[in-house]
Amino acid sequence: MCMMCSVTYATVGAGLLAFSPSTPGVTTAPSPQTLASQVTSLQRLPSTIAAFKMPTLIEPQWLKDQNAAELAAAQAKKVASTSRVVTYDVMTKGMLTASFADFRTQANATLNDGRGWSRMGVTFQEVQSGGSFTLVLSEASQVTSFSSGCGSEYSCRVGRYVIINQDRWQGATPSWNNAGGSLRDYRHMVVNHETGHWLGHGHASCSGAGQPAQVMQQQSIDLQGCAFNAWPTAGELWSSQLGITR
Amino acid sequence: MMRLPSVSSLRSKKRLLIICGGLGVLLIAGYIVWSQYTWGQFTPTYTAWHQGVKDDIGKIIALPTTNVKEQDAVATRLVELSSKIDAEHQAVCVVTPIVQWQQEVIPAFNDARMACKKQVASIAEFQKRLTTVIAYSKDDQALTKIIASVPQVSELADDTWEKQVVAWDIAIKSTEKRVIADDFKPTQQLALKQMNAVKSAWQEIISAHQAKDKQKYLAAQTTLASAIDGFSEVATTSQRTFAKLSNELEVAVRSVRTP
Repeated sequence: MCMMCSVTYATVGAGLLAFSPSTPGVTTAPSPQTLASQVTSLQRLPSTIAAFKMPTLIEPQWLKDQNAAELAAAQAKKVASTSRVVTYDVMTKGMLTASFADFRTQANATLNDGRGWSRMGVTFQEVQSGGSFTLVLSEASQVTSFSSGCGSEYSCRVGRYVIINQDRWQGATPSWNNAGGSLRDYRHMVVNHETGHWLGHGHASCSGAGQPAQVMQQQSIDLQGCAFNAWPTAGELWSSQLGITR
Repeated sequence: MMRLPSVSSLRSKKRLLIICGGLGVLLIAGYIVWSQYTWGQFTPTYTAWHQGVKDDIGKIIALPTTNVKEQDAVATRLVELSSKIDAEHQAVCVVTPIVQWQQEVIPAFNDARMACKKQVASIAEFQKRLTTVIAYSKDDQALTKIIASVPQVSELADDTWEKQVVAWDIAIKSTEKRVIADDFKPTQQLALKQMNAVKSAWQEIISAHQAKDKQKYLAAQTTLASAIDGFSEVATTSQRTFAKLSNELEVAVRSVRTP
């Protein structure tokens, strides 16, 4: 029997050697990816959270009302503390076809309108002569006589002279008219704009499509995507000429 | 007086012995051949199984993951692979008991069996890591779905604020109800903390709104912003945990794929 056993072992052993364990090779093609990178793509929480932003809460009406009341109170306080009178005189240049009386009345109304520069706490008072600036209604061709920097097409400001081009006073501009703007609003705008230069402002650009134009933007030429606006915006309520800061 | 067996009786016993001996030799020879075949098949069989697992891993690694659909396909393949290993790995190194004793006396058989067990152990470890990662990603995706179910709108008017409270409340309850993997618990606890903070901030906003209390309203808005910002900590914790688990998986998969 022992002999039989040894035969059995020898035979089986030989069989095993014939089918000896072979080390399998890695047949998978090399890949730049790893399993870790694959499973990482299954994680969704961080990207969902990254897109999670604080929403803008639309101001409820009561808050709008409170804010408006607070702003009005602050402005009233500012007006009360800074109220001052600015004088100006009025003259004409060249041949007039427009009513000078209407010009004076409407210009004064614009300057002292509650939507205008008077929000800085300033009252504009017309005087016979010796005003702080001179408001001029000028024949279009005469505008250039104030400075070569002025053109006959638009209004201008040169030093103390705030010059309103009679053609614009009477007919606004094509772009204004085409957009349906009224002549009265154009007159508000042009008086505010040119007076704004005297107050110390340069030209402004449109702050964003659809936004009301700043009054110091050259709205007669190009709105740059803004909406017509005849009145100084809150950000424009300052004057280096009068020493009024924002 | 003893009776001697007859000559014919002796002849028939001798014949019987020869027949039995012949049958015995045939049985032993058959057993030897069968043993040889069984052990001969042992190594190729488990090697083929191991190679099959490696091929499956290679195919999964090569899959694209550029969009959610493709990522879901990867997840499905991973689950299938895990199930396959789980169902098969314990039987891979098993040898029928009739020949198993031979490993005790033939070192080559013993070596083959030990090598098989070693390979299967590394694959079982890989399967364990894979199961952990799959469980974590399932929890991660479930929580993502819950959070994403809360309407995310860039602008919200006061008539929609109450809906935010309700939506966050539902999200919190849905999250609390889930049975999750241990590895996911820190992430979930943080998420629940932030979800409760957001819900609470919304309630403060509504309360201040109803009282028309500007100071409280503005303070509650700040609280809400802070609670929403706090979710970044959830993301960080989740990323850190998932990176640890996937690195452990990568170590395990390298062990499986190494020759």
